[in-house]
Amino acid sequence: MNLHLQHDEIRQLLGAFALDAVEPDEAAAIEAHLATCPRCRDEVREHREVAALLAYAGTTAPEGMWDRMAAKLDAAPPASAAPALGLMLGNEAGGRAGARRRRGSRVAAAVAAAAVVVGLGAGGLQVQSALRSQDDQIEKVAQALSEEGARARLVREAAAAALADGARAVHLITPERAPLADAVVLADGTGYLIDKGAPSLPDGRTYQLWAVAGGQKLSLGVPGRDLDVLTFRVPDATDALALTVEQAPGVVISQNQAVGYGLVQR
Amino acid sequence: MSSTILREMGDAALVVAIGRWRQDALAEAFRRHAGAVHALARRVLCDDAAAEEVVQEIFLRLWNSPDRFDPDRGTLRSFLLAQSHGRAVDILRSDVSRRRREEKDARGTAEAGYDIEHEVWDLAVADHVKEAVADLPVDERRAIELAYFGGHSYREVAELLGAPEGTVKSRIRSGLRRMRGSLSAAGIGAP
Repeated sequence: MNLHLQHDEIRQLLGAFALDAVEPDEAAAIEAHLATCPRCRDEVREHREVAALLAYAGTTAPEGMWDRMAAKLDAAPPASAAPALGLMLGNEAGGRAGARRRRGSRVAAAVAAAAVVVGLGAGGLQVQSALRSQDDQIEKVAQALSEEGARARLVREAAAAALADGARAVHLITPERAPLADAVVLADGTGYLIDKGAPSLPDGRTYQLWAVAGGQKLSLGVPGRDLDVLTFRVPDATDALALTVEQAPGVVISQNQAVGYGLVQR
Repeated sequence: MSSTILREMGDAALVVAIGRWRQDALAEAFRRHAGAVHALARRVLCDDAAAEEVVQEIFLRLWNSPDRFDPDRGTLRSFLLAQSHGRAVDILRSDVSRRRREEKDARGTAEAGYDIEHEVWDLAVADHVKEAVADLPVDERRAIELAYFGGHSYREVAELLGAPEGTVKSRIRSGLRRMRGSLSAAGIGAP
């Protein structure tokens, strides 16, 4: 059933709509209208905020409610966890389902910023156990970082960047598909790279980060023997990021094969 | 990511972490908002067990589809409360709970205006919310209460109050606007 309402009729209904007090056909018509009308959307948001203030009674949920709910989470890991795991594993592994989720929620961008290590286990990698080991990793990373204020700030900046509109995640992996580093690239070209298990290089060697644009490699920075965290700036047409190992203090043109490579999604 | 970091995270960042299936992030969102979600569902449904089911459903929904939350369209709290309210109203409008609702109406309409004042939370902000509610014309207050806490459609509210439907629509809308006005004058309300 398609109910057609004039703009003014819809506006009159927005208060009732925000309180779920309209008929289903009216709700459908209003929802369709909201998709294209920012002003009405704002009004509904405001009404809901007022309602939220009215609703707030009680400070915490009753005892035991979280535990009962957490038990359900364990019993039934979300069916859609697989694509999310794909996201962690890299661009190709994410597949279409992963890409859909990525667009929807900007989750992938956070993946890049969080510097998480999830191994590419052979065979059936259990989603839940992967998540747990990943949580341990996050814990370790966070602890290590909290000891170093400046670095932690950069990581926070990267995390914030990951939430920005148009942020793109890049997973740099080795030719053997082991994770090496994660990066996030903002719409304005600012980027952050975070180590994801790259080995320390011997003295006299350094990692070097490159933007691959139109078949050319442009140097973005020379992190040193360890990848750690760094910020950089990519040209507009960047297709991919690549990491090479060079003689310190770095080179203008690399003759070496990339040790890590990741596509920048458009 | 330690629990300290989670506690410092804004709601939007928390939802991103939930999107990565971080159960501790969901636990933190639950800690922050489940009390309010539960109180609202219980207020609408008058039933503890049903209210808990709503809470679980709303947070499981957040767990499974965190991308449904759009920070540009309001705060996480108002999103969760709107979801909770919508679900509670659906349950209320189903046949199963019709009888319970009729019983509740018998009590509720007699005390219209009482409940909002007694349901607001007990912090400094509560005084301002109470004031804003008290400043509402009684017709607007009743219409909002019957719709929001009673789970009635505006048509039902019109019938209950013996007022024209159009009037009830505008009372709800103008009452909400009036409250927003007085709350923002007091410096309350989401940005």
